[in-house]
Amino acid sequence: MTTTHISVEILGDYLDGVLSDGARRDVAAHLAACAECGRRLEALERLRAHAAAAPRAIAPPDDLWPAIRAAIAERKTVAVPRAAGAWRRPAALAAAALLIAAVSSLATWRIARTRGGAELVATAASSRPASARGDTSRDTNSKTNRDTSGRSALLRYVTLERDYDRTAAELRATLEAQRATLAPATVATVERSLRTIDDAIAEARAALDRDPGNQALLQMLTATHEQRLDLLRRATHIQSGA
Amino acid sequence: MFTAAIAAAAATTAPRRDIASRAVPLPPPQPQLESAGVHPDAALVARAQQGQLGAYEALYRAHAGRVYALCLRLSGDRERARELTQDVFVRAWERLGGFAGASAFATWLHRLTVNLVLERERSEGRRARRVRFAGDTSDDTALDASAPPPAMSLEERIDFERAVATLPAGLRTVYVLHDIEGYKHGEIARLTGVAEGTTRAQLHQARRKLMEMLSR
Repeated sequence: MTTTHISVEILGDYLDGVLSDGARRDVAAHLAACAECGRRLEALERLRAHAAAAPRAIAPPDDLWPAIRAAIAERKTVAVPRAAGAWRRPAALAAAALLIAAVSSLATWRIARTRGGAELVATAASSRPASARGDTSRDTNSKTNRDTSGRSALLRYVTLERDYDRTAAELRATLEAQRATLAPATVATVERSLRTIDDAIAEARAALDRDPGNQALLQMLTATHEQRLDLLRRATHIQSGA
Repeated sequence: MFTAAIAAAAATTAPRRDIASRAVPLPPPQPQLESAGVHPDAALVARAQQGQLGAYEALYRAHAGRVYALCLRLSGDRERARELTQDVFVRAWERLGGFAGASAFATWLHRLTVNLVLERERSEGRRARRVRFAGDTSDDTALDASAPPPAMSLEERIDFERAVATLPAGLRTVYVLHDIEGYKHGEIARLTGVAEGTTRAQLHQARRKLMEMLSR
């Protein structure tokens, strides 16, 4: 008498739970009577157990980070790469830096002259100021809220400023690591551009020290920090001799 | 070549009733998917997206083992896995700006790893490579340092990994993705560019070969 055994494929499907109910019952009935198929099922089960127990993480044989960091620097890539295009040209970077500095300085001057730059923001946020409605209590509350809001905004900015400075330092370090691969003229232009922006930030920061509640200054400083980071990111994306 | 422990284990026979009761399908191993709404790397990712290499290094430290294990199993070659792991983290850095945080960073990185390895396999040809998975002590040590699975000796684990590494590339890819990483056939078919029926056939073939190798 010959016995037809169940194929490994069917046994695998049986274990995977993809057989129909009828087929599943047939396989179970066969397994209850066939030692050979039982052994094969057990072998499959052991294989599954191996797969389930296989470590999901295996430590690399050595520390790969130095090579990864070097590759990142070598390729001059950044976390937020953009279509660099004209930004790869040092002249464009310099022009952008000067524009940022000019706009920042002008804005700093205008905002600092406007006593209560916070009002500019507050007015923009409300089309009908409380005072215009003759509601003095609301007006007082509104001013109190603005002061509180100004302090919160300043605290937020101080926290942000640390992050901005840390990030800028990281990018400067990346730029420094790439220095040897960049054309000297490019390095000079980038450094000059960064100094210009740094000066603009310092100028706005000094104005903020004199008027800590000036939210417009805070916004402008935040924007200038962003622009500096953007410039640094683009600078670290410059190809040698570009 | 392989240890007698596997053959000895294969010779043991459980009672029939036990086999029937164990025929309930086990839940498939899952890819490292995130818990709903919990993205533990979010702060590091945000800082890395701002260009902070220090934050990115922390992400590397947290995920290198997972990426290396995947590269090692998919490639079947230790040196190749080192190269692939480096490439994965360089590419991830380049693409980090496009990571919107809809999924966990681990999931995003896992997909990126699978895609990169398969892409390299396709572009460079599935040439046969000399397998060196467990050929030296450093890999044994690496395995030993990982979380030990219950009731499985180090020798058995090394035999298993070596057997997987010995599979032909196509079979190995399907086996690793399905049985170890928990991918569905439809997804494997999409990733590898072959028909779903083919991946099913390859999975069965891979299991059959592994059973043969491990029973020697």
